[in-house]
This record gives sequence, C-alpha cells and structure tokens, in this order.
Amino acid sequence: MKALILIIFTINADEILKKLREDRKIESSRFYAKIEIVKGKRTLFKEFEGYSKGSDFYIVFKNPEDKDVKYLKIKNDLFIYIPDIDDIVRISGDMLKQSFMGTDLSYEDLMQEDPLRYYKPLNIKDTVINSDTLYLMEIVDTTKKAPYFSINLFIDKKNILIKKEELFTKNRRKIKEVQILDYKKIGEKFYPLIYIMRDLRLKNSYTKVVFKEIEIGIKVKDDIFKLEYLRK
Amino acid sequence: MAFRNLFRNKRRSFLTSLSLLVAGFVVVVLHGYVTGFLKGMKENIINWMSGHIIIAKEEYFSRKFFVPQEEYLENPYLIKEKLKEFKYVSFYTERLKSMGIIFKKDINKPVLIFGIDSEKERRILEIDRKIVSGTYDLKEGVLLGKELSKSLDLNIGDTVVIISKTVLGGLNGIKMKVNGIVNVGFSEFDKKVVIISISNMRRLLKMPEGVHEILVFLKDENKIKDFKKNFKLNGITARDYVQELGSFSYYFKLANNIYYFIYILIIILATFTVINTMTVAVFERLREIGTLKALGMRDLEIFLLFGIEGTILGTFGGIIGAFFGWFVNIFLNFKGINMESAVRGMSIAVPYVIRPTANFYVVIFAIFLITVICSIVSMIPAFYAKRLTPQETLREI
Repeated sequence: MKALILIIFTINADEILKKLREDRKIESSRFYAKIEIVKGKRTLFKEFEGYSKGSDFYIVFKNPEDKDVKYLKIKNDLFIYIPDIDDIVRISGDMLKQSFMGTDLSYEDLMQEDPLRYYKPLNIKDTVINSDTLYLMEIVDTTKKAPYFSINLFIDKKNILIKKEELFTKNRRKIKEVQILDYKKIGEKFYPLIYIMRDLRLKNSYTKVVFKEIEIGIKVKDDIFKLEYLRK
Repeated sequence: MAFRNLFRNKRRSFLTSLSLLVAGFVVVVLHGYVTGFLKGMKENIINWMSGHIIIAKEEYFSRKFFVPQEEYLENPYLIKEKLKEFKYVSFYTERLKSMGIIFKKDINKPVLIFGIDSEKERRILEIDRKIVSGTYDLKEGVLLGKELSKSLDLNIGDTVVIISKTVLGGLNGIKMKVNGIVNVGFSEFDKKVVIISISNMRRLLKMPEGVHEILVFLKDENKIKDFKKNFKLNGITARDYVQELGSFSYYFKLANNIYYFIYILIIILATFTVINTMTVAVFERLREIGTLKALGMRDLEIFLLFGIEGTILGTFGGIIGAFFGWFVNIFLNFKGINMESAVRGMSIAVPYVIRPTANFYVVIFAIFLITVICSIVSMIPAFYAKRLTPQETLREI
C-alpha cells in the first residue's frame, strides 16, 4: 500500500513539476514592464522593454534615471551596456549574486534558464491560503547547481500555476519569496503578469514587476542578441 | 650584608638574575608588541573606517553591511554647523562609499569604492607615504590597493571601468586611469579598495550633493562620550569607533587582560630560580645562620637578610631586562616589524607593519611586578631560615 501511495505521489508531483517547467518555456517574446522597488521608506520606479529568444534576452531601461542601460544575455553570459561611458561589461563571478538594478532579484535569478530543472519533488500536500486550496510542493536541488537548496511551491490546483514560491538555503533559512499575483493566458499557456519578490534578508524591501505588454511567439531579429546591438 | 652575600657565588647569582632579566625583557617586549599590534588595528579602523566618531543616517547604520548608497546625508551643512559647537573637534572629513565592480577588459573584481576629499584625507590616510607607485592625483584618476592592482595585473596609466549601483537604484559606471597604487597597510582594504575623488564618486552614484559619512576626529579621545551625548540631530546618528568594532572591542579588552595574566605567569615562572637559589643558600649557610643567631641576631633580621638578598637578586635582573626590552621596543617602533606575508588575507584590520609601543610606564610596571613577586617568593626560604634554631643548625654540620 505504502509503495502504491509513493508511486502515485511520485507520478503526481513529477508531472506537476514537468508541467510547471513546460509552462516556463517561451520560444520568443516581446515585453514592456514596470518595476516598483520599495526599500524601507524609499520607493523607486523603473521601466524596461525587451525581447527574448530561447534562453537569451535583451532589456533596455526606459525610465530617465537609467535611460538606455541595456542588458543582454547570450547563453551563459550577461552583458551590460552603460551609456555614460558608452561601454559594455560582462557580469561574472561574485557579481552575479548582486542585486539587479536595485531590485530584490539577483543577476543569478535573472540568468536562470529553466530553473526548476535542478529540482526533484520531496513531498506534496494540500494547503489553504486565502480560502483557496493549493498544492504545497517542496522541491529539492539534487544537482547542487541551483542557487537555492529547496523551494516550497504553492500551486493552484485547477490550472497548475505557481501562486507563491519560498526559496530556502541549505540550512533551511528562507531567503526569498515570490508571489505571482496575476497571469495572462495566451493560447494554451499562462504567463506571469504581476509578481512580487521579497529578499527576506533586507528589511521592508520588495520588488513588484508588472508586465504591461507581453507578446509571445513573435518573430525576433537575431541581430538583437549580438553585442554590437547594445551600442545602438 | 644581604648585598654582599650576592657576590659569594657570582656565577649562581648571575644565572638567577639572568632568568629574571629574560622575564623582564619578555614582559616589556611582549607588552610593547601586543599594544603596538592593537594600536595599529585601532589606527586602521579610525583612519579608514570610522574616525573617532562617524556620523551618518540611522538607516545607513542599520544596513551598513550592504553599504546602502541611497541612505546618504542630503544636507551635510547642518551637521557641519553643529560640529562647530564642539570645541574639542579637531577636524572632520566627508566620505562617500559604495560597493562596486572594477573591470579590466573581461576580468573583474568586487571593490569598495571610497569617494574622498583628497586634501583633507592627505592627513588622515597618509596616502603620500603609502603610495607605492604613481601619484596622489584624484582629479582624473583612481588609486588602487596594492593587492587589488596585483590581482588584476593593473599598472599606472591603465584604464579601468568601475561600475556601481546609483543612489537611484540603477547602475552606472566610470572609466578612469590608474594614477596610483597604494599600500593601504592592511589586507582587508588592500585587496578591495578603490579611491576616487568625491566629485567623481558623485558622478558615479548619480547624486548631485550629499555624503554618506562624516568622520570626526577629536583632540581628546576621552571626549567621545560627551560628544555622543550632546550631538543630537533628527534621523542622524553618531557612533564611536568602539561601536563600529562591534564584538571585536570585547575581544581586544579580553586579550589585554589575558596578556596581563601571561606577564604575571612569566615572572612567577622565572622567580622559581630565586626560590631555588635562596633555598640552596640557606642550606649552604646553616652554620652561619646558627652562629649569627647564637650571637644574638633576631629572627626578623635573619628573615630580612635572606628576603632582601632574594629580592635584590631578582630585581637587579628584572631592571636590566625591562630596560633592555624598552630599548628594543624603541628600536622596533622606529623600524617596524613587517608581518605582511603572515597577515595577508586576514579580513580584519590587522596592520602589515607592527610598531611596538615603547611606554616607560611598562618598564616601571615590569620592575614593580618583578620586585613584588621576587620579594614574595624570597620569603619562602627566608621564612625557613628564620625558623631555624642555633641547635638545629649546629646539628646539621
């Protein structure tokens, strides 16, 4: 009986995880988003637009303070174009752990391509949040390559969508929390539209990202994902 | 008589004195080294990190570990005006700080960027003295820590890109030439410090005005408490360097106390030779003690005879050793002990060059301690000699 339950659980949890990973795969996209960054008493607003193709992306900031700061991810490399010095730098090593433009996201978070691939489900159970019954699935990094050791995923049962993620270190310290407040259905898939990320190591800090425009599966020029394009 | 007895067995007296000489020497030199080491650390912390007092926003202190660029003092003029009220303020300097990344082509390193007023800081950071190569010119260039420049293979004239988070939460960079390489004097900063002018730092952080910290230096360190008590500005905090040290300040105090215990232990160990010598002397002079007592010398006089002899024996060596240690400290203070290879990599402000202190009061302290301990231990054989009766001593012959 126990073995049967274990098999049922494994299939169920594995399938959910597989679906979540599938949903995150985007062939290409164009997006325009606004960010609200709250750090204690200060609130900052930023805007950016960009394109993605496979795991690569290109972002250009539009708000006056960061106008024309551009990010380009090509495979495993992340480049920044800084307009004030008209130069491009490559982000690597320790700097990947730094905050992305003052948000609660790190460059590492930003760079993750299919981040759930490192994890295997440890357990799954029902939980209730705001009178909604959700799956609470704990997944653990089995490859030692993920930036977070384990994640608690709160999953909407109906559409199998992540509502909330709690990210833990190896010693079970919760360091980040992501709440996805809204999704947009495009075709058969749902795409996160509004989410809030909190770095729990910082007091009174959160980052809210709102995708104002999002187009999926559009044709994106290859030129965009070349270093020379950053200087344009 | 006690003094003359010292010369009865010159070699033995010399060896006994020598052990106290070594003890006195070790105590003075060790004290000089330990206080020199702690003083060096304190100076590094005061000059590079906190001044006697560091003034910043409350929020800046609460997240100081993350170097929060956005928590700057928008109006430092108010603080500067307030500082005029304190007559014991010697001078102050304003600084901007940020964590950033330095790039030399594709290689990069995390750095701590200091935006300073080059003229004011000339006195505090003693950069002129610490420049290893290049010049102290911050107008269009940067100064780098020696280890940092080595790790990036940077030389004078090379161009570097420094990027940092701006006060608006964005990202910015500056491209500058390396104008100088500085031996900061301790590894923690030597491997990560980049020094630029305050105006270039403002350009990097995209801030029109303001500073992160105001470092205040007092004429008299004892006025720190008074300053903190009377410095009151809304939302602005003044912290002293001990607070900046955090738990390290307790370790410093603890280390000092432990060393005092060690000094006493060294002297006690050395004085065993005095007990040994004086006990042998008592047994050698049994006939003499008996005769003196038979002639009417009182017990107290016998006690004092051996007690004083032991005390002189130890103190004499102790005085020479303490003075010798003092001269060595004066020499080492001038010359410095280079510990760079040993302390490189340490993440606290341990100085590369330790300059032992040469305080005369330590010599007095060591001599006093040796005299007291020697006189106490000399009482043991002296007390034995005092208790002997003429009959007992004559029976031993």
